[in-house]
Amino acid sequence: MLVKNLLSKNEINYKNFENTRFTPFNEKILKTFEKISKRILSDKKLIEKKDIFTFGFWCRRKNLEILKKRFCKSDKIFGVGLVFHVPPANIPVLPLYSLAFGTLTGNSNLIRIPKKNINYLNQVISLIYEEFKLHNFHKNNLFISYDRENIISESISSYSDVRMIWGGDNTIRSFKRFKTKTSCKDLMFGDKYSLAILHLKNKDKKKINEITKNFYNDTFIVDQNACSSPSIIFWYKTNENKVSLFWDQLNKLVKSKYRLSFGLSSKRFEYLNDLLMNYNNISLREDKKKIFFRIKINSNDNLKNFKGFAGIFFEKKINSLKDFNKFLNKKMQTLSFYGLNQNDLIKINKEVSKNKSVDRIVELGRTLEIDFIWDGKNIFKSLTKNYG
Amino acid sequence: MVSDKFLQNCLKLISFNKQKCKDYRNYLNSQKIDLKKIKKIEDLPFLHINQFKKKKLFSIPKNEIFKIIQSSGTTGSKTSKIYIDKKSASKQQKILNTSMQPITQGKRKPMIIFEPRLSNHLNENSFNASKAAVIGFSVFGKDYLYPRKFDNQLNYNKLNLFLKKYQNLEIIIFGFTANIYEYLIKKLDKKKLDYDLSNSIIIHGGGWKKLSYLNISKKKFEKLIYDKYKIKKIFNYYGMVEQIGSVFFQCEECGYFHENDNTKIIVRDENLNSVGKNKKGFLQLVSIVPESYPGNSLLTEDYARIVDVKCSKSKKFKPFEILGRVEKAEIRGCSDVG
Repeated sequence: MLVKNLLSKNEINYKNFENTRFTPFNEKILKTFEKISKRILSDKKLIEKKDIFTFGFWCRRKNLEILKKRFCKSDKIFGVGLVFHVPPANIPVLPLYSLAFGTLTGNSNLIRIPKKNINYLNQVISLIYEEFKLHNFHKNNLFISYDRENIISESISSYSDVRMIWGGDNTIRSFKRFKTKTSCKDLMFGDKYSLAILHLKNKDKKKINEITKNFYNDTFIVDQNACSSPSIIFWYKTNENKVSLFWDQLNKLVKSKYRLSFGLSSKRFEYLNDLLMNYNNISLREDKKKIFFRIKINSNDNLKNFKGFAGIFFEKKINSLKDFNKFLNKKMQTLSFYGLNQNDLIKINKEVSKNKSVDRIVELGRTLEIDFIWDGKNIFKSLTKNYG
Repeated sequence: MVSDKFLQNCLKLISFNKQKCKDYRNYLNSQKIDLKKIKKIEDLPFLHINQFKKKKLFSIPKNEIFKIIQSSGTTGSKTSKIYIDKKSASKQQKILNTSMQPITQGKRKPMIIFEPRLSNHLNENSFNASKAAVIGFSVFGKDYLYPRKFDNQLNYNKLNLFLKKYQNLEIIIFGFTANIYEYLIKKLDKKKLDYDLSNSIIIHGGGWKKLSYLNISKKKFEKLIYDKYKIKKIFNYYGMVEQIGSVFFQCEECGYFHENDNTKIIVRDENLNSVGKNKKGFLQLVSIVPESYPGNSLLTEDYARIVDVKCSKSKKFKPFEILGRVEKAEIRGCSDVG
């Protein structure tokens, strides 16, 4: 059993649990991840899981060297100590990134795996464990799971140096009640939602396949329920024709690739009912052939409540970026875009910073890529100490 | 075939509810639904049944609310609240009487009820599903016995006295499916009964969830009863508080449920398109029974299948079966830790 199932708080003796700090991006850890990456990418069964493939690709030596260059600018930096990771409910792959962040920065790590993801992650975790063992990393990195939520979370919180709580708001609220060391740093990522600005021109008609594929990867892969999956689509200077082309093409893709379970379908329809009943400035587009829902936004009210789910998209047409600020709010996390030029991006960046909205701006298709900078927080800095 | 009259009646009720219930009006308006353009029942707008757990949905003045019925609900979940006025209550009862007619031949019978005894129910206006079902069905009884004691043991003295009194009469045994299993099949010690129950009618309903955990199918359930008591007349009913009155009884001929004059069914796939025979999907109920709240067209969380059987009713009223409750979805995304 590589994910240790904790029945009581005493099962982790944290004093024996080797709480050592290392130099970030040291050769041993780089080599370990290089090997992990190679093994994942050459395992046919593992790379069938697209998210695990992406993780394997992310921890290639080449990418880690780039990260090292970007963040690790001094040789007097060390990890802070013990990091307690509480990954989000259900982006199953997130614990792996969380672990990578923790180990690459030179820390010891306790990573909580949500119970229902254990099966899904079992193979990749055992692979990581084998590689960690070769360099004794298995002693100060432990995957754990448990049911007795409050008692064990509270106990681990009391001796952690950093807590990374990936949300949502309810989890964060309950973790804030636990006592921590005075020096403990908290990285907490609350509930957010995201938007996309798409500008389709005539020449994009030929590229519609690729554009919708990117959009699909940003949304349906995670049931459009990641904070960074676009919920509101702003159509910038794009005529009805091209908008329809986009949705028609997406419909084909979803039909062939996405499996909507009855459970999810019921939940989605229930949520759609909530939206249609509670807000009077939206209208559902009737289109029986579509296997997702498009909702037109008629005025700027209630915008922060318009989060999508499993194929519920809000749409708004805009012809100018100048007054884009009226659509922005503090719940917005990722702005993804297609077809914008440098000038457009400068304008958007200005509005966004003025309004303290939107934490990151990325190209369409890259919203689920994770980085040391997340939700506007510098994870690398929070997980290291500078002694120089 | 669904008659035009049924559709017109539905549309009338939906327009009424649209007029009187603000949330429902908003729901329809956000979909830009033009009721005048609807030509078949498949095109009627439908509401997710859980909305009754979230909103107070009714279309009558507050002072005309006669009773509020609550669903039983699983532990930890919210319950539905259904608001009924006097007129709807009597309409529901009338319809229930009609559907019971073939089973009881219109005669009141002595009744053994395996549900908790009702206390002072006339003084309250809030009902749970069990209470509502007992009250609804109790009109078919003429003398009632609640053999469950407070400690959930059975009162054999009373049972024997009751059976002695009515030994030559047909008796109705009523209870939720799980309680009939618990008390009649499991707990009751037949040796302690002085009379046999073979001349009884069992009416049970309220879901198979508990029994499916025990791996007990409808067939097995009926066999267990027959083996123990030699009772043949066992009627399963299907209904829900959100559409009280539109109760379906298992057909004596084919063993399945049928639509009726008041309530039609549609089965829908994951994408909410209606499907034909033999395909599993969400059950949608379309009924002209509800009046005081917008419950005429509801998408339930129950799976159903329109079955391909022939009996004297099947031509006019689609036969169908219930295939359990929709599984809770595993949801990906940044929601709370699971």
